[in-house]
Amino acid sequence: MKRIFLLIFLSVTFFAMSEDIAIPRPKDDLLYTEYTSRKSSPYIKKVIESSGWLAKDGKKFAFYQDTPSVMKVVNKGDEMSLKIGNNKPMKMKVSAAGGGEYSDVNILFTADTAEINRIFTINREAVGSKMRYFLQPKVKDGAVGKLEFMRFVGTGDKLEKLEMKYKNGTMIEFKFFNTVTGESIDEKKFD
Amino acid sequence: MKRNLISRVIVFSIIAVAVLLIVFSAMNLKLNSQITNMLPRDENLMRSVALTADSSVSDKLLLYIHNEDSEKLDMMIDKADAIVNAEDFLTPNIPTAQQINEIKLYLQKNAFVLYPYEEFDAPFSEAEIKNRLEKKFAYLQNNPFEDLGELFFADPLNQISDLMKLQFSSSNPLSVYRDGILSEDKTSYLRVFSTGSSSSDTKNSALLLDLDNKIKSIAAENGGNSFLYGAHFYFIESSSTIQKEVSVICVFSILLTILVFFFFFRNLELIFYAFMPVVAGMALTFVSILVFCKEFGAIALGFGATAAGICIDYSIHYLFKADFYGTLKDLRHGIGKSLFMGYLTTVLSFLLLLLSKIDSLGEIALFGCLVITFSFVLCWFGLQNLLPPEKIFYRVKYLSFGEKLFPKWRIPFVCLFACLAIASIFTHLETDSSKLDIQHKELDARAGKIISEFGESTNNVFIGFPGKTEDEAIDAAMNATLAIYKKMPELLFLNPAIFLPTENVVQSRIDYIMNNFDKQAFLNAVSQSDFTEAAFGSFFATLESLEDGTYGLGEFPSYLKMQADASIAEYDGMYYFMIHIGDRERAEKVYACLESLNVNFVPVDIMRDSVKGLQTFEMKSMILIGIAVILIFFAIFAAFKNVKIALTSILPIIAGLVGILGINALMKNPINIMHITSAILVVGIGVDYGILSSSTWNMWFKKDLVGDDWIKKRNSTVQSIFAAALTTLASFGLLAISSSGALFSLGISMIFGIVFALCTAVLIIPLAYGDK
Repeated sequence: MKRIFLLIFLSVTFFAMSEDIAIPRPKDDLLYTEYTSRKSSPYIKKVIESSGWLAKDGKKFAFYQDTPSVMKVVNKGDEMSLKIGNNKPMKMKVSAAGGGEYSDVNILFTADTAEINRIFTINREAVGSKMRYFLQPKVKDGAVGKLEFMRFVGTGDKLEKLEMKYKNGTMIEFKFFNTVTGESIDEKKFD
Repeated sequence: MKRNLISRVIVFSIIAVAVLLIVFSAMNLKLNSQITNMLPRDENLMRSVALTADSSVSDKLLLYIHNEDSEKLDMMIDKADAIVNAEDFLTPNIPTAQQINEIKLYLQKNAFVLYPYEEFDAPFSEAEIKNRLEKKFAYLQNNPFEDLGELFFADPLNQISDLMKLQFSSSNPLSVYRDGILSEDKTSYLRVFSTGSSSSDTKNSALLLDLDNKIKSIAAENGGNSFLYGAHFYFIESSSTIQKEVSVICVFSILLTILVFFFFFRNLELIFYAFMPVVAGMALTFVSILVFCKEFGAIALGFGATAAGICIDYSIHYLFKADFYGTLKDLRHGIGKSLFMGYLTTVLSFLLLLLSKIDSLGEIALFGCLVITFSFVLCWFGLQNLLPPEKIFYRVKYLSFGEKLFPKWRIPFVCLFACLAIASIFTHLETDSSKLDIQHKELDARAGKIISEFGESTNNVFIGFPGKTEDEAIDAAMNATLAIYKKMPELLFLNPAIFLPTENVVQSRIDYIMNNFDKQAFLNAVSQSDFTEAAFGSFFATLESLEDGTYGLGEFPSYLKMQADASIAEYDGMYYFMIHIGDRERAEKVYACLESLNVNFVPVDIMRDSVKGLQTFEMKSMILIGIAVILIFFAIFAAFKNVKIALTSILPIIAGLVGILGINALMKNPINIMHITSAILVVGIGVDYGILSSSTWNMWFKKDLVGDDWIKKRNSTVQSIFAAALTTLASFGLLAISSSGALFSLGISMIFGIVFALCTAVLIIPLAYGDK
């Protein structure tokens, strides 16, 4: 009898442990949000602040910065375009090779649950109506490999705050506001 | 009957075997249709030909796709991807993302030493360092995804951007897209591949043509336009067009020659006897070439296909005269000398072509000498013994020319001659060797699209920077780029050597840094900047390695190394770093700039380098032809011991040359090497007519023959000359329908040269002997 209970207990524990932890996903994979960010580092004497918006529609993702300068990055499937100021955009194919090729913010919005769990160790705790997440990378190479941890707070399917700490001491903090999920996005945002 | 049967069997067997040998040889002969084979072997030209063949551009293939609709353009690119990715002999020429990353890491790590202190002002003053640190911080603010890692801070003075300006100084609105580039209006796409084989290497011809058809079918299905472009297609098109045309011309020229022959002899069996020396001579020639030559020029083969018209002359002259003599011995005594002199002068004129030092003309000379010699020998020892005068079984159809020979034609001919003689004064020499090739209308249209939409010229125009070693050549190329950047940056060209300095250059820069870089000034500037001193740990590590002599550039990025290796060509013990310029107008400006900077370089442009050699050759050839005419005069004089015969014998040559020069002047065709070749052939053929005509009319003049005997002899000679001229025209004249500039020039000149030689032989030479 004792052995049966132990077996059941271990199976449940194993099942519970092996289950992927999902991070907040926008409803219907549709997202528009504005952000402000602060970047600090032991290598710079002052904080770099920026602002803009980002949008997601299924496999399409757009990141737009309006201060301190205009810049736009758009991912459509395996194609990426980069436009700086009034220059013509550069387009190239991007091959996603494991966790190493994802840009920092992009990964949270484009990678699926299984991939996120493959790349990061995820811990979460509920604090009131909000959920706090703490992610530590398992990979050691690529852009993700330079991270020490990522920490974010979300309610339902929306992120409110995101912090990324790098091994070299750099810290980037994002605050998201005016977030809209589940509503269709203007196609021009992905041009 | 038995004798005739044996003769027939021998003749038909020889012809059958000869035809098989010709077909076998033609199928196994490797053809060469390079236009450079038709250019004089000038030192500069040979160097340009060798370096161009060895250049990084010679194996390139361009994929072009156009569609006004961007979605359809993407779809077409997807389809093209599927097609080209299936071919393992195509290597993309644009760096992959991994290779770009490799280049970025290399430049960041080594910017401090890659910076060209020998040409640029060193950014070592405190004010300049401060300025650059401010720009670096501004860059950081504007690029949120920039990694604040070691490599970012390894280049505190942002020297990478200075290096980039050396390569991308001119504004380039093209966008990098999907392993290729987009045009400014985003409706056209271009991708570059390496094929691994030079443009003249035809082993992949069938594959390339098939690939081009598949790419073109994408546009057929989706609208827009799509094709492949590369120098390979020019060679394929020239080679296949000339082969097809030569095959058709060969068949028709033989048929026409047979028709002309049949008109005069009206005997089908006789045709086989007459053509036996010609066909057997051709077979022996083809086999000799197959055995002793690795490859043979397509133009020379084109000429060879029409040589039947010259070779048949020996059979014609013999068969016409056989009627007059009872035995072979008498015949050889009567016309043997004329026949032999005719053969000798024709071969000598071909041998003159060997002096041209042009491969193509040398091949024509070889083919001509062989086929004419074999045909003459087979005629002399074969035909004449198989069908001696006592055994002839045919009757010649003699045309009646009346008592006076074309009296009404003399004045019109003299008037026409005078017109062309005046026109020939306005002759000028050809400078553009590309006109010898066929016109490549579709390929030129493709090139035009690429140039207009991408601004990239496809011409094989280069600059070569010489050196006794590879390192010297690389240094020379790098110094030239730096010099041009300072004087005329709008003329800058892509040069991988900038990023791959040699050991000597690296050491000299390290020495400069050690003597001029002030670490304290740098630290002062950092303290006033938005960066902390801790940021530049990797930079200080580089400084330490420079001080203790442990610094090294590390492994060159694979893409840059590949480009640099492909840029180095070797010729005659010297190395050349080759930079592709493409556009001829731009190249001239670059050459002028480099000359003003006293930079050592060589322009590499086959078309440009061929001009001087071509003109020199054309001028020298015309003088050589004049000398040949004088030598022929003395040779005939020595044979006949008669000044008048010698003088009148060369009249058809002079008339033929006037015909060639005059008609081309009227058609506004500059004189090229093929006109000169035809002039040389007309010298050799025209003298035959002159010798036959002069020796015949000399008999009339000396009253050796009178009355009906004279008329018969005269008619026989005139008919013999007519038949020979018509067969020559039937063969060479057809070349005038060829789309190859070279063969057309040969054909049109031969027509007028032979017609004028013929008319002079039958209209003017009799007049010279008093026969009005």
